[in-house]
Amino acid sequence: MSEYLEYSIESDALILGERIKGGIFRPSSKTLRWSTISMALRKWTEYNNLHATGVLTSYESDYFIYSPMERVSETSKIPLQVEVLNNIEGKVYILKNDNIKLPDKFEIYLGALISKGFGKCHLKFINKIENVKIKKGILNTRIPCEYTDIFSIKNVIKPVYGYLFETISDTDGVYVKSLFEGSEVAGPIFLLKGGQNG
Amino acid sequence: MAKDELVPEIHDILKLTSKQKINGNEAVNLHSHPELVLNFLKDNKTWEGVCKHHHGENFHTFPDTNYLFILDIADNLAAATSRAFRIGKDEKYSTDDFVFKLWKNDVSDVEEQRKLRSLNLNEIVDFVAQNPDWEEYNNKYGKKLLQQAEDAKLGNNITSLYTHSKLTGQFYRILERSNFLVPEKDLTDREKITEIYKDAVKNWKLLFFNVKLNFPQKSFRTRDINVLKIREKILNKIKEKYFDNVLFHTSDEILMIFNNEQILNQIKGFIEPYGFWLEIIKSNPPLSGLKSSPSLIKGKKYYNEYLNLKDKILPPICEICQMHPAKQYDNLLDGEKELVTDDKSGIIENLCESCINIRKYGESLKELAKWTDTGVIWIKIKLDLSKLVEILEKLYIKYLKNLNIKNPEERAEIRYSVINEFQWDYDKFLKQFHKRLHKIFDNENEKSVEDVLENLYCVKIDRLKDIETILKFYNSLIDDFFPRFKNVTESPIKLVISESHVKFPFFEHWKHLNNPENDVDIKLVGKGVMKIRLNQLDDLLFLKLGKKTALYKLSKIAEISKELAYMEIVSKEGRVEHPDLQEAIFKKRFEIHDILTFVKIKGG
Repeated sequence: MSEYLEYSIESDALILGERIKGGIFRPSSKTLRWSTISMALRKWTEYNNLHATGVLTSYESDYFIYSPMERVSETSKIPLQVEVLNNIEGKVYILKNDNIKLPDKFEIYLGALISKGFGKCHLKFINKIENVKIKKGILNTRIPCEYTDIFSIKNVIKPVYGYLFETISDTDGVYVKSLFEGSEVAGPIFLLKGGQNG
Repeated sequence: MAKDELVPEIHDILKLTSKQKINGNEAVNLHSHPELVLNFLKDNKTWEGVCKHHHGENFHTFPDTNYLFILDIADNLAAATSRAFRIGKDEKYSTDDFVFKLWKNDVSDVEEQRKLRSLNLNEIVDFVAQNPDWEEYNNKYGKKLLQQAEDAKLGNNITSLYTHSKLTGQFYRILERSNFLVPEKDLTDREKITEIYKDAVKNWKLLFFNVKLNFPQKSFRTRDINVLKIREKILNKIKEKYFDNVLFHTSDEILMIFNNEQILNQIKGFIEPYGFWLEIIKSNPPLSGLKSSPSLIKGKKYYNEYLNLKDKILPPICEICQMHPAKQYDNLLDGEKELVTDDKSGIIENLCESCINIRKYGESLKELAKWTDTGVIWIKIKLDLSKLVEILEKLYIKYLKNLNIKNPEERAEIRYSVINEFQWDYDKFLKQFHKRLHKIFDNENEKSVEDVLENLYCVKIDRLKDIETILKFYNSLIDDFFPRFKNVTESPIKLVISESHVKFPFFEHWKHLNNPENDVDIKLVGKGVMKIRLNQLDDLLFLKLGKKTALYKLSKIAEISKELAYMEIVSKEGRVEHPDLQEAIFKKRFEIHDILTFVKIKGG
């Protein structure tokens, strides 16, 4: 049975941009996807086999307008409206691996527009989860199908599929079929809707 | 249909006649005594169906052929109430020929012994003798069929003869096509038939599906909103092709009965070119176990069906659906290249085959495409089918209790006939909403309403106050069509409004429009939300908001801080300046953010 390190995560402002067709509005994901948190932690730990996912327990939604400047011509393009999540609280679940040593408290940067001051997150160790409680419910995060075992998803009852981006090198990556939030599964209670306090 | 075939829809035509004296005997209801008129027409299968579709002990005729036996079963499947819980069996009852609509009527609307049966027997016999089909029957007597209850006994009178007749026809043909057969030699006496009937409804099984058509496309441009039109087209195709099998439908889901699973493969064929996916509830009950929804049947299966998903996709992924690899530009046909190239910037979009197919459908939202710098509201009326069944059951229990009928909880089962009856009023309600919306917002020179679906609109607005106008006429339509939904904790019909600048992306509106959190759910993007119950709508619309200046000040404060605005209302000064708002919050239990959003709507 897999074991997990449970961390709390807090941030003042995050932009967890959804991939969308080039428009002038960028919505934010309302969950901590496997791809967002795992890739950030892999970069932080320099350990490429790290797996983590997370959930947001509270946040406020706001909009931020900015206009990216083209450096050569020094002109601004059409302003983009970006959805920002403020006052975020959540939990991160990291698959326990003896090769990774994480401090009890540390900071990482997640999401977009980090250069504009967004994305700073504080992580604080809460607990080691050894006996995972499995329950039927609605998934509250996004996990690649090939890693559902790792995250103790025992049964996928009603999947909602989508694709997450997995980097395979500094310049390359692939989209992997994934279970999205809203899927009905039998899985760890802490990854289910309403299960973070259970 | 051949002229001399049995027309199952006509089986209850004798219910349209008043009590008649035949051969000088006492006047009787001929529907209960078909033996008295059986010989009035010879060699007419429909007339045989009229006279021989019951096998109960009070009847002197019974179904003696396979087709009549199937009609007997179809008649019971299409009844408002199940045979087991029928009111009137060994107990006293009163009658009212008018339909009692659970969503509309109150028990004070009931008039005991009220009659509608006005047709003359000769007229009926002459009519059936001409071998009419369902359309001719409907054209001639449709109005009467809609008004009159299928069963006039109070407590049973919750569906019309129209719905019952139509559904009987549908079930009859489903059973006929399923090749459910009994040896005709056994259909010789009532006792035998009763046994065969019990056996048939216990052992004959049908597949009962609830299929919801979902799409993964995150539509940004108006031409990509075609995805909704395409889904509507597919649903209409299913309704037309499987007319008999569809029991109920909304703008995204469909309730169907079949004898084999081939239909699902056909639906998959319809959706495959567009990359849609299906949310399915499937059950396989015996005829006696059919309920209003497959979700209520023991052994049901819930599952989602996606088509042709790959485990891994190398970039680029489709920018709209993000579920399939984008087609290489060089591999596109000439017409397709234009569809993925932006006219103004020349930027090429990476789209998959399915999303290109959706673009091929063309620009169907002509008005919306013209609007460039204006405020708009998206309006969706959403019907929650499982909530509908739950609420109708509660209203039915209440009705039976008011009639002092025993065991109302046990008897108040909502069958598909009631759901089907509801569909009739729901469709009329949507048409009225459409009519009023256009009347208010369109004028001779300019169209301000874009019809997207029968329950989805985009309206160009000049001011937020226009939303109040919509709330007012929605409220009056609810009073006309579904007033009883104001007496329940949650309405199955939701009004969702999402307001923004026209450039705000549709898929963000869609997330809100598709997942309302209350009966009336309004979002002013970046300005506020209002989520209230339907039974609060009257109070809200009659709310006195006080002086305009005080209100303006309040809305300005709310823009800076909701907490400050709250303090402003509940403070000592608030008692003077906003007495009605204080009452709304403390006595009528409105949330402060709902009130503040409404203040913005009223003042905008």
